[in-house]
Amino acid sequence: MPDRENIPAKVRRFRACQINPALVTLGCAAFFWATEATSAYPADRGGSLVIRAGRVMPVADGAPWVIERGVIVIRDGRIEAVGAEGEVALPPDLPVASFPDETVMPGMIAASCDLAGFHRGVESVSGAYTAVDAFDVYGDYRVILAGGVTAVHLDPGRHRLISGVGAVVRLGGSPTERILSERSALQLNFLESAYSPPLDFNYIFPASSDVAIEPGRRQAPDSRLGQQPTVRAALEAALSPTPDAAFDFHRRALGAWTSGAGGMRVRADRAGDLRQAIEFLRDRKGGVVVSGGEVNGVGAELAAAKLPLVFEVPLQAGRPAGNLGTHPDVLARRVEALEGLADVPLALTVGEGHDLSDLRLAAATALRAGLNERRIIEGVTRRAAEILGVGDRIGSLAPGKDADLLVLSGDPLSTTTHVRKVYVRGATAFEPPSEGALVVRAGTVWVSPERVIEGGEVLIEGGKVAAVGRAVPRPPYAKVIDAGDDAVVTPGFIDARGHLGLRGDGGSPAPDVKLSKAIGAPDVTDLRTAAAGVTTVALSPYRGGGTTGAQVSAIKSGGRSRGDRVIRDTAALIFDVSDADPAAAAEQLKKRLEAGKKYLESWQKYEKELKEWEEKQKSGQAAEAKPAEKEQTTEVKDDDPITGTWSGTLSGGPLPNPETGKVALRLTGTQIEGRVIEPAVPVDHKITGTFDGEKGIKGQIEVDTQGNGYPEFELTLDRTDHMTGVIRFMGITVNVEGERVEKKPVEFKVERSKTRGKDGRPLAPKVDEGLEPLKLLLEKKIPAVVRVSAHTQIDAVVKLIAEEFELPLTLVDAEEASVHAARLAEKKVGVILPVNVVRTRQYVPYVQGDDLSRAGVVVAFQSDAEDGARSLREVGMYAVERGMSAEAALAALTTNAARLLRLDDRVGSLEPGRDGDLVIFDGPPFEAGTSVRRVIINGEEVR
Amino acid sequence: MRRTGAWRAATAVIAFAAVSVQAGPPTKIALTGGRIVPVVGPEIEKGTILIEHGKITAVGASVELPFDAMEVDVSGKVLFPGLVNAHDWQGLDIPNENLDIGAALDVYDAIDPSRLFFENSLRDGVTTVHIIQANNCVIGGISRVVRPIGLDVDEMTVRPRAGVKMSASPKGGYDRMTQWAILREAFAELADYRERLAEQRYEEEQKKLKKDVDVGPAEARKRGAELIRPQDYDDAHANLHELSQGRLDAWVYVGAATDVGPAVKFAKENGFFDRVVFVLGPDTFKAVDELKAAGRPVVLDVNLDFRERDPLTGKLSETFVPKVIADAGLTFALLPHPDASLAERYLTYQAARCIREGVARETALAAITINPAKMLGLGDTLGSLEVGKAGNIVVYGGDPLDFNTWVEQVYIDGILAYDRAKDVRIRRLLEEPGAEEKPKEPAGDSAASDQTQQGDKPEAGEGAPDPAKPENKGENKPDSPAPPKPSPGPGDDEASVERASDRADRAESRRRKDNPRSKGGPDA
Repeated sequence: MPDRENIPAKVRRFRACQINPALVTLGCAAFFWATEATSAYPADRGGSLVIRAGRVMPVADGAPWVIERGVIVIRDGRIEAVGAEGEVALPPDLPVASFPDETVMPGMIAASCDLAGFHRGVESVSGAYTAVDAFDVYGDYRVILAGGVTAVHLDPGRHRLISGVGAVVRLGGSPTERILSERSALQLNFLESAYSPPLDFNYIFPASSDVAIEPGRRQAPDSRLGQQPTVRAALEAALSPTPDAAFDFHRRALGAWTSGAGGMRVRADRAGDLRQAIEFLRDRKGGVVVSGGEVNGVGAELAAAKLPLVFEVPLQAGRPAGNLGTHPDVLARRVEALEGLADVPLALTVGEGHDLSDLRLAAATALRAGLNERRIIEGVTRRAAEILGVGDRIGSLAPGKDADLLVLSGDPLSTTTHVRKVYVRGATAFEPPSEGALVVRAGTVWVSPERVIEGGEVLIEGGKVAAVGRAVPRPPYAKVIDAGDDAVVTPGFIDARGHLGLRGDGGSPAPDVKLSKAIGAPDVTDLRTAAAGVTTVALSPYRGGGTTGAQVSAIKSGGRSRGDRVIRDTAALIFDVSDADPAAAAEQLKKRLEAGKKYLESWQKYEKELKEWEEKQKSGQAAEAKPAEKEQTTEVKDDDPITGTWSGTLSGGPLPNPETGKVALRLTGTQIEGRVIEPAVPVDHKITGTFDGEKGIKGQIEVDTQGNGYPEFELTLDRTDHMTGVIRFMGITVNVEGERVEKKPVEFKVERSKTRGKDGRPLAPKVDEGLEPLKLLLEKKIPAVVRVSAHTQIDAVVKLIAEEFELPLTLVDAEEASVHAARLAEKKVGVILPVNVVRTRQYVPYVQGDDLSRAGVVVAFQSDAEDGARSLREVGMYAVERGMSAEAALAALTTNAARLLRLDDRVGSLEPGRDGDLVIFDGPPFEAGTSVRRVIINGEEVR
Repeated sequence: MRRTGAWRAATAVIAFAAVSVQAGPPTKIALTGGRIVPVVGPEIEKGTILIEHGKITAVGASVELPFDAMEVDVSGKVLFPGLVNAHDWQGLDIPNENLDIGAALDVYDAIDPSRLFFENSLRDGVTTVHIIQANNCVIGGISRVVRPIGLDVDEMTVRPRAGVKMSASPKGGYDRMTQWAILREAFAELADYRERLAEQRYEEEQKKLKKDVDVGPAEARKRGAELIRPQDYDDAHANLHELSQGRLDAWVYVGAATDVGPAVKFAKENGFFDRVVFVLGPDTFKAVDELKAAGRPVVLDVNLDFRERDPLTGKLSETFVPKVIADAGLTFALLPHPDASLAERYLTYQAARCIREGVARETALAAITINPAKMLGLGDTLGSLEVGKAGNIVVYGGDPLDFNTWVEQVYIDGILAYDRAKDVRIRRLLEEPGAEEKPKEPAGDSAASDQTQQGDKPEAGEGAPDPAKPENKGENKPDSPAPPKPSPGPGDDEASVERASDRADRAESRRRKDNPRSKGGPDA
């Protein structure tokens, strides 16, 4: 250090006069403002897109408060245009984000917050601490962004009289673009917490016996009395420092504020402190008052001094305080204080220590104080930005401003509203981590025939209906579709017999074929069907079934993947006896059912044995291992792989040309017997052989070869009704290929090992895919769906299936069902109505559906078409027009169809637990003027 | 005159003698037959390195050896440059000083040559250590580059005043606002000091010229600015002044991504940006774009992978930091983990991990050798096996990055500083409990090699095979020819090593508490 003592006192005095206070101030200011230099890194350009929203709230000068169906054009992170759809030219090069049900507003700004924490310095008065230093520009603030706050003012702490310099920062977007204002204002705290600051020690290095560490310096203020003089003195001192005084960085840093160049904000809670703050700032001709306290009555003074106010709305949600003071409703009183601030520019923020993500809720409580929606929303957007000096960048949606905006699920100040998405400079800064829940609100929610809610809501979570009622929960990030008071919400329609996705395949599938295998992810046709409101199709073959039965799969017309689409692989077993003689058909059906019964019994027996065995195992009496036993079983099978007439071709070897022939074969157990039919020979050539049960066939043809042995064959059943292999005779090998040209069901005996495993565990019977659906039917898990026509057929089928076997039965078409209406109702036999629902009886038209449902028969509609299912609503409309009640028609398309097909645990109603499939109509569903507005499948909208 | 001449002659003789005593190691040593991984330049499958007077004078597949070179056969071994530890506090008795602005401090006063750390460094193949204050500081002080051998700091020193340590991230108990206020205050105070010094100098000059001080202070300060001589700066300001003039390196700890921008700006404003090395924290890599724009070398955190949880979903994500840094094309150095019980303590392991995660082999190898050498301003003398560089060579038993490979020998400036065959600790650690007699052997052998220290040319120990005959040199034989070594290395008398290490261990465990890394860094 220069030796001060050697300089003549006169000279020192002389110099003291020479120092130009303005120069010092400027110098200090230059030093501190120099750090404002812009980042040296290439700026992030920001996103470019067009946002279309149901409602846009620009909160801008000269703009309407709300723009219905608004458009925002964003380029390079800045707003290019805002307006109603149609008024704004849409640039063709930009992607479009659509939010038809949402409200878009500017990102909210908390005009004061303690996110920066407080500095650990001891100085009671310092301009050297800058809150921006404490801000993590790489921080992940999505939890706050999720609350809709995109920018905040960082306070440098409330623990010192002058605690430092605040900053305005964004909470999202590119790290290099987050700082909006590095030095917003000097923070003064006229608060009790700033009284009695700690002793200020000046550590000297190196300390020694000559250079002692002095005791700590006491700092002001000790009380309310001292705060204003201390501030004034400090600013004075910064303006004209004594040249010989020790270097005081903290006070010098106040330099920028002494001339009034920098902004200043004073925080005060008590009425007395607030008056001091107002007085102080009025003398300085500017500044901001920040308060969460007794602002009652200072409104006029603030307005007179033209000082804006940042008010911390007390919010006790989530952490009720222990002692709120003497007033019965101290919160209300504080909030009500805002009433007197009619002329004061007002920004709202949350109280100290409170979650910034609650800003919207806190602001909304100011409604209680009589502030209108407009003032409150401005208080967290545009006014806040203006008060913080960043109004030219953020706070409103106007051309030239940064595209920091929120997508809300509804009204900004409603507690049931959620933030759905946040954009910062046109780039997504927050979006829900998972596909959120969906809430659909409508004037009428038709849950099921038993439950219709006027003015109701449906909550769909995870693809399922989670709640239905007048007001359902709104989980975080929920999307809300408010369909309006005229809208009717119904479950998705069910096509009780359709062919969607079969692409005209009119084949008659075997009983083991699952039609759902033909379904992939939804294509355009599927989605068109879905968009018409038909969400579920009982996928049936065009024809077929006969008395053997074919499987019906239940699928959805929409969904993300194939897995989403299939409700049940086997939803029903369909038979068709509409062209058959009733008695003969009944007999064949019976045979089929009995085969199924036997199969079911073998399984039931096995399950019983298994249970017993397991119990034994549990009780420790492990059955002794027994050698596998052989058991003779007789099976009637029409799928005997060998028996029948085979036509074959011999080729290769010494044969110059292929020779053809025919043989008859018969399988008994594993033995094959047969004879050669063609070429005809005088003496039957007997064929004997064995079948290994799987594929292989070995044997010989007993033809007289004069002692050269019989020709031997070795064949393989390479596919059904087809075999290939060789015949060997006298060293010659000839290739054989055979095809079964005729087959008939035969009774044959099979020998196989008894159904016990090594450890005595019963072995499961062989799974027969062809009989599996029958098993399900006989277990009453799926219904039998029988296509019938005449009343005699109906009689026979009902008698057999519903009465004798007591199985669930649904009739298809059944034009003459009315004859048996009472009986059908009694036996709970449903009817899937023919496509043409209007029929005539003795020249009088009538609607069969009405007829039957009045008699108590459960009915459903079918399309008998692929994407023709789209007109299913018109089928219902037609029926209603001809006299069926709209209620019954709606039930027939939803709940009843689901009940008939045993799908009511998944679809057909909007009860909780069912799939989130619903249709939003803009009026009563069967009115001609009503259209399908939107369709939801598994909680996701079909577009 | 005659007497003067005699005196001169005597002085010359004494001086010569002193030099020859100092130049203890063999003047010429050749390592022959090993695979050479020079880091800079292509590998040599079977080659020779010739070290003359501590410097490499030849590297190649066939090198003509001077007749008087001591030849050491290292066939089957791999020769690798001595590793460089770019940043470590462990050679200090305490990692940090309490004083915030400690620019006047020098680690010279705190390096403890007896620390186990140096011995371990040697054992792990590290031949150069940058001893610097730990990250828990504001302005930590002056650092020093040392060899892990030598009886006192001067003997160990490779480069004094290697740099000034600073931290852009808050020191323990501080917040960022306070940290930055102190940093800025330090340089603002320097500016103020300089002005006052200028004024004082002007007055002094005027006084000398017997003139009156006739101008105001502002003018006096302007006129006096040029009159300041380097010696006018007091201890508290001298180093900071040097730094601000770009005459000292700065090693700045940036513990978090958010600190990078301010640190770069601060370095530019205060004139040391061109001489700054950034020491990164665990998540600083997130600011890779800013680091790339700055283009300054970086030292990575000891933890190479960074894990963090998504605050909304709780999903854990992992980033392998060196890959990010390497992909950005930044020059970086790896550090060994201070926790000696982890595999990460080996620089070679750290480099191997980088390669496994997709960093190019050359890049990973450079990060433990030539890169830190360059950062330390020693790129011309250390970090690779090239002609003209110091004879710092690690003889590995196999590939340096193979975890099963041992460091067999370490040469520092041509001195055999470590020989695993004589490493008492390793022997005690690995030997069967029954064979306790053996450790006696190396003691006698080291005595033998002590004798050889007297001569210019190393002689074989009693009954030791001629080093020129490679077939006689068994790998496990403790009596391979050892050039003299002045260090208290691991091959020394067992008892004394034991004592020193006990002392070091106690100190180590005491110090572990002060280790900012073990507390989760100053950010915690």
